[in-house]
Amino acid sequence: MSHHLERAQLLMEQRRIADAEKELALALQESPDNGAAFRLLALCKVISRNYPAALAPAQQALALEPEDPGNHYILAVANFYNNQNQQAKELIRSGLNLNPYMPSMFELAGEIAMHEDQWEEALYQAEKGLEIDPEDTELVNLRARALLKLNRTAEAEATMDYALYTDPHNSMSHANQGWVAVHQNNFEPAIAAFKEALRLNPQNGHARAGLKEAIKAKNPVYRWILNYFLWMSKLQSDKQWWFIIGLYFVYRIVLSLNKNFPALSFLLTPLIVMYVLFAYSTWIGQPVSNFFLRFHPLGKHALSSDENRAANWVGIQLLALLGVATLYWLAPEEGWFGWTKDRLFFAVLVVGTMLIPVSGSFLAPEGSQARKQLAWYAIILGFFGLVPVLFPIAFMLIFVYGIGIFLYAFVANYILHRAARRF
Amino acid sequence: MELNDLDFLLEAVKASPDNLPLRKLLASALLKNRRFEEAEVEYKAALRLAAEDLNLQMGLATAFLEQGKTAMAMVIMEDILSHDMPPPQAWIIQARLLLTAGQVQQAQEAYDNAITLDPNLADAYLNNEISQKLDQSPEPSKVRLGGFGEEEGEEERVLEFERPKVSFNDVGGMEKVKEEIRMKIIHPLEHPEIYKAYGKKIGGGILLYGPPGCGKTHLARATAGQIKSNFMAVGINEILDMWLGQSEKNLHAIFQKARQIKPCVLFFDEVDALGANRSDMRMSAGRHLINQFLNELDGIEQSNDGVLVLAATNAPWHLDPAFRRPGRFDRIIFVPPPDEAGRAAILEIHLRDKPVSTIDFAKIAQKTNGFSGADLEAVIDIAIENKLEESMRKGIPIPLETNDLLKALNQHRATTTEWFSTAKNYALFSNESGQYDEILKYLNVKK
Repeated sequence: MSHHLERAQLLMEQRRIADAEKELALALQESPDNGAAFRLLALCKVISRNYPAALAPAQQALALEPEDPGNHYILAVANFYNNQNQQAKELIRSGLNLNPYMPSMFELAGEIAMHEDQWEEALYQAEKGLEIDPEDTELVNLRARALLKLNRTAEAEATMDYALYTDPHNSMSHANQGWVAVHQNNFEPAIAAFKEALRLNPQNGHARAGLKEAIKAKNPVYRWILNYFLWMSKLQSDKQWWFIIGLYFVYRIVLSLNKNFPALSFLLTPLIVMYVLFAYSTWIGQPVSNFFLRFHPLGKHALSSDENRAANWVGIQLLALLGVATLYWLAPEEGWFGWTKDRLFFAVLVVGTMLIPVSGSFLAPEGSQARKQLAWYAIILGFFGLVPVLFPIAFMLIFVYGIGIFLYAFVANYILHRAARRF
Repeated sequence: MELNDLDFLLEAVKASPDNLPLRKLLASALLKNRRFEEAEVEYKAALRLAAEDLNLQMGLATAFLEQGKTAMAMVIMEDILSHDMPPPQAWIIQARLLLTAGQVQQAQEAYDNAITLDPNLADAYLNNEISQKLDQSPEPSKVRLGGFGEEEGEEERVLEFERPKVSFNDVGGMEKVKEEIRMKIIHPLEHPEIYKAYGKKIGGGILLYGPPGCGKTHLARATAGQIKSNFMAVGINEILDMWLGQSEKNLHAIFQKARQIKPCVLFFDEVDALGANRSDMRMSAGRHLINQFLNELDGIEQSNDGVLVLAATNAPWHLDPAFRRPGRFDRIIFVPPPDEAGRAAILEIHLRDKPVSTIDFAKIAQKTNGFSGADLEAVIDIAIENKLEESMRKGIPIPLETNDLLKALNQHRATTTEWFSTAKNYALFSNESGQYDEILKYLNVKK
């Protein structure tokens, strides 16, 4: 093996990816058709999350050495991270034909299945891999995650205990143990597990996310929202849609029942209120709870700067809502300075509902296309909401705002779902 | 030996001139009594009886050497050293010979050879003389590192010791860091008696950590300059080759050399590459190198008195915890990005010899919070590039102005931000013994 290649490998082990790439470039200058160098280069690109750049070197590696299953693997990884799952699966198959005993292949297949919400398939692949190497920590973790999605929490717990028994210093295993505890609503042990995971690797985002949820879930209201989210995340994507739309239709039926049978209203009105509150909280639950997390001694550090920003926005809006609502409550019927009680009511409504698009924008990953689209949606909505409140002449615009808010839930859900599929 | 005995020996040799052991005894006795001329005659006579005797040849060479007949001595030594396995003593003579001939560097190498072959030969006086001469000689001392790569004919790498000319005065800001280094390194060398009274050893290790480009290397060099000691920087490339080549030997050679030419500052840049967490490294060869490094720091075989080990890293969290134990890198110093005064000073230094009009350094310094020294350099570079275009058009160099630098600020972001976001995570979640508290203090984060 060339000197540069050895150095590159060493640098990669020491997580100096940029330096490793330089060495690989030197290695390729020496021998331009070295498949191993291309493979390592592709791996560097994947590690540094420059996914599109990983494709070309991975293809080059496979073209140079098509008999090496490792090259099938790396191209499959590159394809997967470039949202080309079909090609990735074919490469896994061809790679396994060359060497059927590669646990990493099964792990990748499992990860792809997880990504496609195929929990059973992911579990199957993880177990196939574990037949070859029962102590592969990544595979054990994958198995536990799949079991969690399949609602087999007890098995997931046992799996994580085993993972930590074989490798007690694995940050990811501690994080997954924490998540198992979150699913079981055991928040104190979950927090302990996440803390340990972060001690071992403070950069572990999976553990950080868990820590936030576990701290917030100590609040019973948020626990309710969290359990809903966890339950939703176990549904496959299309089923999630059926649930959201179905629930909406049930709501419409209840609404019309309420109109037609006023006698039942004592039963139906709470249902309607509950649905509205529920729909509202699914949108604003995250950022509002993050806003309160900012006052928690440990929790505030778990928030990323983007989440902090979201929490700030929501905090400002909550204060504004509180202010406008107080004014509405205090104001006499004829109002002050032309601000009638009705006008104040609309102000409360707009400020309160604007929380949805603002929170929604922050649900999309930072810097993504979805974030931009949702932010523009929110800005335009804000315009149509504030103008009629500030200038009664343009009052008719409030209907545009109403339609916009109504459509928002569906449009944003669609955009967010699409964004969540991409890397 | 008493003089009487010597006379007795002379008589004895006269009585039986062919008695070789007796002649040997006489010759070495004469040498010891500093009667070199007679010794020379005796050795010559003895060599006539046994021409191949290396000890006799060495004796003759010593006799020549002491009489100042260096050329004659050299001829003999050349012959002796061309043997496959010359006796260790021969290297000592060679060292003294070379020293008289003024070839200090080679003398040092010869002495090293002798000590490596037989540590009992260590001659403090000679060593001292060599290192004193070495200090005066402009040529830096070197360590030869061997065994890189598998390709044959590859040149051996040579690491040079230097004597940095910079001192603390050339380091802008960083008063706290400098004070720590003064306490740990400079005062002990200036007042060894006080430290000795407390039974404290001089030397040891300091680990500097902080965001990239904030002057860790510069500071290490200035430390060496401040105490006027030898300095050797071991960079990432040398370290990498240690992993791959004859690792442990090379590391030992470096430390060994440093012990010989003390006081000496050894500087390991990006030390996390050398001392990566042992549980992180899957390469089993790596562990040997890390253990060797720990042994050298401990100075088990030979004392590290007077050898100061400075190390710098951007990622102290990747360093094996064993390095932090007392006696190794027991002082861990955070080198933050330069403060406002420091930034103004850095800008001033970098703009010193460039065409500038009056520049409001304070204003730029104020707007470059979190910028490292390297960042400031980059800003100046961008400003100059922008100015070059205009200068090309007009045909004369147009001086830089405050506004040009302010404009360039928009095109460059502080590179320390990313480092701090990582560091903050470590300081918050993986800080059981409080080693990263300084980072939290700098970031003004309350735990």
